[in-house]
Amino acid sequence: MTTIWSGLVIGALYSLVAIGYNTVLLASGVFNFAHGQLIMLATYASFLGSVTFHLPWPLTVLFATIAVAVVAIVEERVAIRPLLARRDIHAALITTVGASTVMSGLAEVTAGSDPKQLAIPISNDPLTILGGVIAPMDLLLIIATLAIGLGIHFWSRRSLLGIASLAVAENRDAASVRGIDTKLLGVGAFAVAGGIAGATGLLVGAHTYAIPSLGNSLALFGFVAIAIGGAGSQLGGLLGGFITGIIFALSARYIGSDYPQIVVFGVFLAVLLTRPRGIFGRAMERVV
Amino acid sequence: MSTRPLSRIFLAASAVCALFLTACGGSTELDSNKASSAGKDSPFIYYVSVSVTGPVAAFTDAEIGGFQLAVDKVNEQGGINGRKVELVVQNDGNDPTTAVTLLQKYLASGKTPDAVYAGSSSAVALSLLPVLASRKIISLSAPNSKAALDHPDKYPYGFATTVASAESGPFFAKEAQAKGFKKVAMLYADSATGQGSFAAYQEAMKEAGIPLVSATYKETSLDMTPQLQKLQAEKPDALILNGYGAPTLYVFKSRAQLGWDLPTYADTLASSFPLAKNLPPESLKNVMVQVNKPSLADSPHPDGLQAFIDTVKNGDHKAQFPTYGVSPYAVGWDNVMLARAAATQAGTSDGDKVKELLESGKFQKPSGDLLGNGKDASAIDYCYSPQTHFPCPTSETFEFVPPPTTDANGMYVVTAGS
Repeated sequence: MTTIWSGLVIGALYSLVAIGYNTVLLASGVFNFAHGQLIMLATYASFLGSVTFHLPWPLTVLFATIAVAVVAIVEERVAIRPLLARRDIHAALITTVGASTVMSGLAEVTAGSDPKQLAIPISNDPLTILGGVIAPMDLLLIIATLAIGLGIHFWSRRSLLGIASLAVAENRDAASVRGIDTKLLGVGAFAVAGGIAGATGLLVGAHTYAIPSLGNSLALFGFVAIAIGGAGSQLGGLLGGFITGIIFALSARYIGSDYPQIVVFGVFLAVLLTRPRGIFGRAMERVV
Repeated sequence: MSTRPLSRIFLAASAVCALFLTACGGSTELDSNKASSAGKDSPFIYYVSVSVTGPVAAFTDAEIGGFQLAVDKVNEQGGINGRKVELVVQNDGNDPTTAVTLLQKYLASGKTPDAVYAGSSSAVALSLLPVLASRKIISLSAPNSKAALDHPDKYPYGFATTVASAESGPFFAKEAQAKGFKKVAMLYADSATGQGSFAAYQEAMKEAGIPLVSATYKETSLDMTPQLQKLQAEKPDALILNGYGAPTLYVFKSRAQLGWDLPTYADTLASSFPLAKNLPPESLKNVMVQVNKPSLADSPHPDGLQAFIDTVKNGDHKAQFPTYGVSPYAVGWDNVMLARAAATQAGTSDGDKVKELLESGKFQKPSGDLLGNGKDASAIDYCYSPQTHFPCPTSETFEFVPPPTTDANGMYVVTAGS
């Protein structure tokens, strides 16, 4: 069970990236490859809050939420908005990669490449649950990810704003004609995705430390998570992340430490070949 | 309702993902006829290929500080064979393809280095040495992987200046025999350096008659629990850890979480990361790290070391000193000093003549100029020959100690609490 817990923890990280990807993809039609870097920045913001400024954890979370949301809004205004005005979605994809590089570079230049340990608010002595061992902060990370993923899934299906963002994802022009403010929705999606990344920075950093390379480690498997779960499906992204993490951990434990990536990408290809829109992709499209 | 826009975006995203997965390398045609025609007026070009960005950037910054101080000192003393030394630093990003591209671009510009520091990692060194061999350029560097690089037949101009991590294998085997370990596990990075290190331990443990089981991890891994569980199932008596930076922290964190406090030995690479500073004492129970003996505060040190430390602390690259201590600065310094000694004793920087000198056994180590190998450079033996281009360890090279802290001079201090 310890291996499963380990897979769930890593899976939670991939799910958070997938949630961020999907939030922006649904509302603005842009695939924000820099979302892994927003999570990386969230760990640094949480480090600043908890270690440098000695803030209590609620203020640390608030500080990181606001800080990363602001960075995400800046990214949208600088790297995305000018291209959307020219209806160049594919170029926007490239600029998010550029934004990603800028963010990781800036983090490295300003904070250095060594990992930084965050101050965590609770004892992290391991717990034994269902016969497996897990750190309390990791357990909170899994719970928080599930709560965020399910919350945003139901919000996107049941609230007017959520349905509007699905409409934009399907047809930006038609949505605009129906009176949806697509620009506001787009910038709002970046802010929400950044805010979620910031809010979870303390939990993520408790496991990974704050390191500049974190974004790159997460970006690819976050992509695999939504490919497995279904691009545009929050529930798919959430479950895709956990599935990816568990496959990764079980492969490393029982097949061999050389094989996790091969197995994960094998599953990734199998899903793409059999269900090109991912496990949950089709269901989302019917709702729209 | 159409679903095409989302699909197209996803397809394009897939293409970008593929870019992440694909290492694209370009190559430049090399003009092998362009020989060095350096005269007294031309500078002695000391070409350094290192990772100025990426995970090892801070460590590299310290190394560059050492290179720069040494070059300044050598120029102050008249240069090398009367030629002023020019330091050329290239940022290879620890990527072999980038390193080769940059070197070929440099060579194609008509310039030829007199000596090259061929990368901070074995993978980069492995990519550069064939190019340097084709141009007969001497490389004096500090790669780790002896198994991959110590092939004078293939890389006749490549010489290592630090004792290879491979030598840690026989050193650990003696410890394992002394402690009566019946089976040992090793967790190492899935990289050229990690694989080279594993090969060395594997050979040494085989000779010692002690079974060695192993697992690897990717340097992008964020959790080591499954790998440790796999090793734990083998019931070893001790664990060897190879790695650097965040991955080593993940290993110790997972080890503590599993409550697996078997004797654990961090190799020289892992020990160069400040473990005691980054982990709580309970995570480091039963952990020993292999350090280079000259790095210990209570070892005898070269006469010039204190002055060097003072200069580093006031220099442009002082920012890394509190984290890494003096070692990386000394690596940079010593490599330049060795290049000077080799070129001076050979009377030229001509690759063939320098190689002949180094392999002849007549090369005299510049003990007074070297700072990273203890007093009188007693921790290293430049035992180069036509069969090996790596130096040999001495009884003063390695020691196992509990994870140390560093003192104000950046030297390792072993205390009861460390």
